[in-house]
Amino acid sequence: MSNEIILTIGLMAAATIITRLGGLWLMGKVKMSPFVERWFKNLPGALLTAIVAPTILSGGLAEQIAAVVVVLTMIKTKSLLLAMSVGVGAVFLIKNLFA
Amino acid sequence: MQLQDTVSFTRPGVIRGIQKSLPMAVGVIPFGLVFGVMARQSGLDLSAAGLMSAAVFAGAAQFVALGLWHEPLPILTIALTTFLVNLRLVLMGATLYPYFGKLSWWKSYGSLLVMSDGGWAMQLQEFEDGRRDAAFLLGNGIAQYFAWVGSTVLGFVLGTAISQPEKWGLTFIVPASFLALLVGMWRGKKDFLPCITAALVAVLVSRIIGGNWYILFGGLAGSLTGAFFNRQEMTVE
Repeated sequence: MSNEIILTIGLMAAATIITRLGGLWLMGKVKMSPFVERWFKNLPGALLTAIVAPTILSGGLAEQIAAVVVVLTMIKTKSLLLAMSVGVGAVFLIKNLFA
Repeated sequence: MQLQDTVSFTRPGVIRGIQKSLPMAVGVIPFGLVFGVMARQSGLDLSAAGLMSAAVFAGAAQFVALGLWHEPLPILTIALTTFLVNLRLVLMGATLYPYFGKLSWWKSYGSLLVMSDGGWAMQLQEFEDGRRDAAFLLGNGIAQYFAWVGSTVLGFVLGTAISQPEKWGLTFIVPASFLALLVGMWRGKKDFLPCITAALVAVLVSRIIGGNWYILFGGLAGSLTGAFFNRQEMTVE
């Protein structure tokens, strides 16, 4: 492995560590206003939605049907493991039985 | 959120984190395999591919780096791109402050070293469910770390022998877990506006700009919309 490769990977690691630790560090420095507090309460749901929505929309019909199955299973059972398993099972069935 | 002052950090918490995160770790494996295969095709050797997964441990950023991996290596471009792709982790870490801010620096920052999107979401869900153990995140990180590094090496060694994990529905495990976590976090009507905004902006940005920007833009747009319009939130809760 060349020095350039080690340096590149080292800088990638450093950049990632800064982002992993930076949020917690910054929050220790800033003063919480009511607006910032409301912002942070809305952040988890918004971030998760932003991660999920394009992935599911750009997926195939199988993934989209399975997404509905995941949501319904999660509402009914509140079990993360079950919802994930049923979702994967749905993708498998749709892709292998109907494709 | 009233019990934030009683956050603990225990060994059983780490173990619970590992156990509960095993399905998610299994979901990481197909992506690690594909990363290993692609790393080989991009001209990395096994030690470089393994080192990158072990030292960086951030899937999206690593895939983007492979796309930039040409001789001579654009070192600063790759480093800066990695930082930008991972900016969402800043926001995620910030939302953990009410809990992790109570811990000693080595417990909090030590855990955050292995924070991923999935670990962050599962840890928040633990707090929402009334559990107080912040060591869950570390357990999740350990499970995902071994899955990610191990599957990278395996993918590199097996090469293209692995074909089409998406046929088995395996690449759906990660999106399915995020979707299920979102449903678990749903707080009711007041989440509708921020989430619809986040979804619309994320889809638009992913179509127009591409790359990985949609998470940051969608998350910011949705949460700020919520902060502007859910003003009753503070008094209702």
